[in-house]
Amino acid sequence: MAEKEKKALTGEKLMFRVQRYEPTRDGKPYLEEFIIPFAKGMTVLDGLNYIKEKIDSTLVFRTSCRMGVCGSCGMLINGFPELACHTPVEELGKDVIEIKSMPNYGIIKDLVPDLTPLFERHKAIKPYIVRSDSEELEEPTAEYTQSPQELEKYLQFSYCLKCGLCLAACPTSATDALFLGPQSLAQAYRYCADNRDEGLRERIALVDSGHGVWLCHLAGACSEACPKGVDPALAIQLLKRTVLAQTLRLQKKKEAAPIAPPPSETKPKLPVPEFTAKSP
Amino acid sequence: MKAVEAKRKPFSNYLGIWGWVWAGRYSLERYLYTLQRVTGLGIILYGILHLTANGMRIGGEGLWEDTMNLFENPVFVVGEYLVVAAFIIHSLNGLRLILQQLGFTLGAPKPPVYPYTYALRRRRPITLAMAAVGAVLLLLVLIEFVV
Amino acid sequence: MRQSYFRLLQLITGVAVFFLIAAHVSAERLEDFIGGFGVHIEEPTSWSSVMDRATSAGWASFYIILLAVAIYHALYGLRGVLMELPLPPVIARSLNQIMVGIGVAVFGCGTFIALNAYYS
Repeated sequence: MAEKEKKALTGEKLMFRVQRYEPTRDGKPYLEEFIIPFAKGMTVLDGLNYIKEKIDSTLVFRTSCRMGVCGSCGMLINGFPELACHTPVEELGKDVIEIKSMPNYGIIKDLVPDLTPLFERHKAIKPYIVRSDSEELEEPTAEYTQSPQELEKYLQFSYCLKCGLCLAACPTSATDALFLGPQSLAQAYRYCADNRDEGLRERIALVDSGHGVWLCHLAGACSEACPKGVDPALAIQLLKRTVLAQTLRLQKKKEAAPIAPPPSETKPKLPVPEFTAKSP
Repeated sequence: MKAVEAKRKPFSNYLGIWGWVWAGRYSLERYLYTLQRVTGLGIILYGILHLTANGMRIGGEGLWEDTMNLFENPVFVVGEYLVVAAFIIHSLNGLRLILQQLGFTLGAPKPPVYPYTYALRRRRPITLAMAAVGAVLLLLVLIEFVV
Repeated sequence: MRQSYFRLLQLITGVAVFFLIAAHVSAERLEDFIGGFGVHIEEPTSWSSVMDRATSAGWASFYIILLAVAIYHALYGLRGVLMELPLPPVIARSLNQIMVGIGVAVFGCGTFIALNAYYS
């Protein structure tokens, strides 16, 4: 890059070093540099959209909500996995921003990771309420009872976006393609802790395996990277406690949440005055 | 062209073993994991040498004394200190991990409120306190070795 | 057996090996510290001191227990590290058996040396 262009890189301009990779053409990814104008409050995603619209329309990346609720735009930004829409450029504090596809996934093209392993592992731990009363599940008559205290036991972990940043951060996922990963282990705990669920034994059999929960060594990188404060590391340690309690038969047998009974009294209809407006 | 494309191995975007050591802009606990792993493997390596050296006593007093004289070499003295240091770090960090991996000291889940934090971050004072104890022990052992 | 049994044993041996190695290092190197507990060992690495301890039932038992606990903790940890690597399928399938084999062999050798000195 020319010296003249390098000196212009403060204040009004930014350099985006973006990973490019076309599997049928390139042996390995390479970084391509783009100079874009800086605007106060812009995010990394704004920069990528600018590149796609005004400089190089062949650049490929995932984006959808652009407000941190869909989890599509997970990328490795200056060495840390983040959502591009959730990362203001000013927060990075640098004029040069390096953007790569999330590590520990395959790359489909450019910045688009292959999230199939994430979803396969998520499906594997049965991410749904498992109950013995299948008729009620098929034809529900009422809601299951759950107090606010029971809800708080798992609510934090239900905010998972499935963005995949936790697997990108996890050091075990860096080498072990069979490891269940922080996302699915956290979701396994989310369902085990849900008082409506009766699938504890089935899920424990899945996670208490060679490539399951015991390959988590509490590096905490998953919780650090999580953009929604889900704290998968906490869920996984609570899952370990649950697994050990089950193994040592210290777990008290809990009844699954019953169906809410019908209301015991019906309230009288409120007196409503007659309409005073008369039709013409 | 198709035959060439079929032979090209897809690029692996996994960080690999390097991802254990350095992965990016992470904080203390992520690198305490690396330290735990390095000290553990270092202690295993030392253990192999130690068991071999101590097994020399089966060869009698002469062989034993020769082995002990070899360990008077300053390189081995420094190595011995590093092993004791690795043991202190591995055991203190291991104690923290035992408590936290059993779900103790991490606290209960609570709905996230922005700016988000996480249980390990909230419990960092405990980690730092343990690190301080470790630093004091390392210093005391260093004094014991030097004096 | 489920993984959680082995993991629980890893935690227990972790705590146990901490105390055992602390006692071992103190006995061998930290004479002032161990002296506070009423244990006095003159020149711990000299041949006579080593043979005194080797022929003592208490010390021989201590070393054999330390060996067993340390081998389990070390090899289970090493197995965990190796499980995370992309090993050839043959080694991945038989990793547990390999670790058990190594552990039994090392424990066997160490116990033989300890008992050989004890009964000599």
